[in-house]
Amino acid sequence: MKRQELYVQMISEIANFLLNGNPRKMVISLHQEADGFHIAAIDDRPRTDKEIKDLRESLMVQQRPELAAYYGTMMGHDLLGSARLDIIGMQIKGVKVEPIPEGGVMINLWVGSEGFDPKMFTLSQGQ
Amino acid sequence: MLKARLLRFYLLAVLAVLLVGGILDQGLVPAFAGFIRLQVTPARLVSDFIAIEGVGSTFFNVAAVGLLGVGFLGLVGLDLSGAALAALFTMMGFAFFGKTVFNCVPIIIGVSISALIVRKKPRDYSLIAMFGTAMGPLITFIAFELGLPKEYALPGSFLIGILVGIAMPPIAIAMLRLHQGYNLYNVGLTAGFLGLFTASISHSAGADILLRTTWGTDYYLSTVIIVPLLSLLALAAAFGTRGRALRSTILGVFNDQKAILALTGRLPSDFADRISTRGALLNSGLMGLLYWCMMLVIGAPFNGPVLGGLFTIMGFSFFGKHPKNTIPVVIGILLAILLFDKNMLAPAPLLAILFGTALAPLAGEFGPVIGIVAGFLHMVLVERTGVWHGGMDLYNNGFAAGLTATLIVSIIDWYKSQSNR
Repeated sequence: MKRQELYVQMISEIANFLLNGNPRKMVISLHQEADGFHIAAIDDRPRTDKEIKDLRESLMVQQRPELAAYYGTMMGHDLLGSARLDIIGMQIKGVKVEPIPEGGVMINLWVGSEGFDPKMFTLSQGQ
Repeated sequence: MLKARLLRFYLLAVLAVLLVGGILDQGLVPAFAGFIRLQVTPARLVSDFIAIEGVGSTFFNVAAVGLLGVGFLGLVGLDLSGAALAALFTMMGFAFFGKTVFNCVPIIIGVSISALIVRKKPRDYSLIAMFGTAMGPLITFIAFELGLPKEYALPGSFLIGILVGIAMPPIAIAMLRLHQGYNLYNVGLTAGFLGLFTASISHSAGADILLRTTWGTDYYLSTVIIVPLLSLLALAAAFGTRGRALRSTILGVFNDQKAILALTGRLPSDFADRISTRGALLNSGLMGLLYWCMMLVIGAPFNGPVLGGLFTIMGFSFFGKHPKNTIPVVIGILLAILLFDKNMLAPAPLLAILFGTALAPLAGEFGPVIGIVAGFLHMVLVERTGVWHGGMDLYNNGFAAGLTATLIVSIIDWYKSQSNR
């Protein structure tokens, strides 16, 4: 149940961010493992290199447990104002942001417990 | 690591200034004796410790509460960050008028127990624990004001402090969702909410809690110069070159400050993380000087509560406040003061000017007009909220700001969501 709530919050926040860009298409997938999970989000809105760099930097903040356990609880609940990728960033173990050939962006997020290593995730990104 | 080292250097310098200032002002032994007496002094709003025990003892209390916070961070294994500095400066600021080592410890223990109950680490709730010390006066009230026999009063106050600490995280998290991060003093709203119940229980038991007002107006050189001194220390830390070219350092730091001004300040906005430590230090130093100048111009007394307000502004200048998002709120507060013909130098309006800046994210996100409206409403509300919790919540302005932010966010949220359908 606890993890289900986290899925909903994280998917909601990332969807909020992507929808702010008014894409024609958006796909979000979730892959679960015992000790962690992977969220992949794709949209079709073309972005500049700078936009992708900013996006990556917002998500690549260092893990902040003291902020994540407190302020991180706002994730996905509060959709007024701009989306806050940094709130996602402080809770994830790994991130990969890249433009896709069709235009748009693909955001990969790996989340897990302290022992979780995104590199050991058994499902490849393409699956 | 450079970030933490720079912040550690700055914090150590602040603590050293307070301790040396305390010794120079009152002498080591009298200042220490006064510091001990402060631990058993009633601490509800507004208890100006400088007026009660003098400058030196209060500076000792501020440094001791700051060291308690630093020790707690070390114990839970957290390094200094913008958020941690905001919490530490808030703890120290309120140690000028309410927080003591005695009344902070049970709440920190309680919040840590709360973390363990839900299988988290005390580190995870460390910010709630530090900000949660706002409920400190409740502990002092039970221990020294209620008139209970000593053998019950001390353990009873400690136990109730722990219970309040345990209740703090779930309420703090729920309150965040009310205002959605637009009130920087979320624990103020939390403590005010809890304070409503504790004051009501006390009223039902026949022990009505009346607000205290110990408000010093004496002039002391050390209290006038402490904030500009600490602000200059922040600027020195920001511009310290350590072998780099001075010109590029200065340009870089000012560019970082410019980037900070573009942020909304909505919780959680750690300027040291998101922009740079030096930029955050410059922002804190400038904010300290800006609001100190304002106090000087309007002729405010540099007493405990005013210094507390200035310390809190400096702390939150690492975590949400900057000139661009605070000034509209202050304009709104000043408009309400002028319109309703209030005395600007009376405790409530003066503290509202300083602590009402908790609403800065509203101006940052929705523009200066909303910031002015928020400041206006805050000033109207804050004079009433203190009575509701009997001064048990030291962050009374955080309580009023939370209610104001909830009102404004609800209306904007409703308008945006319904008009787009």
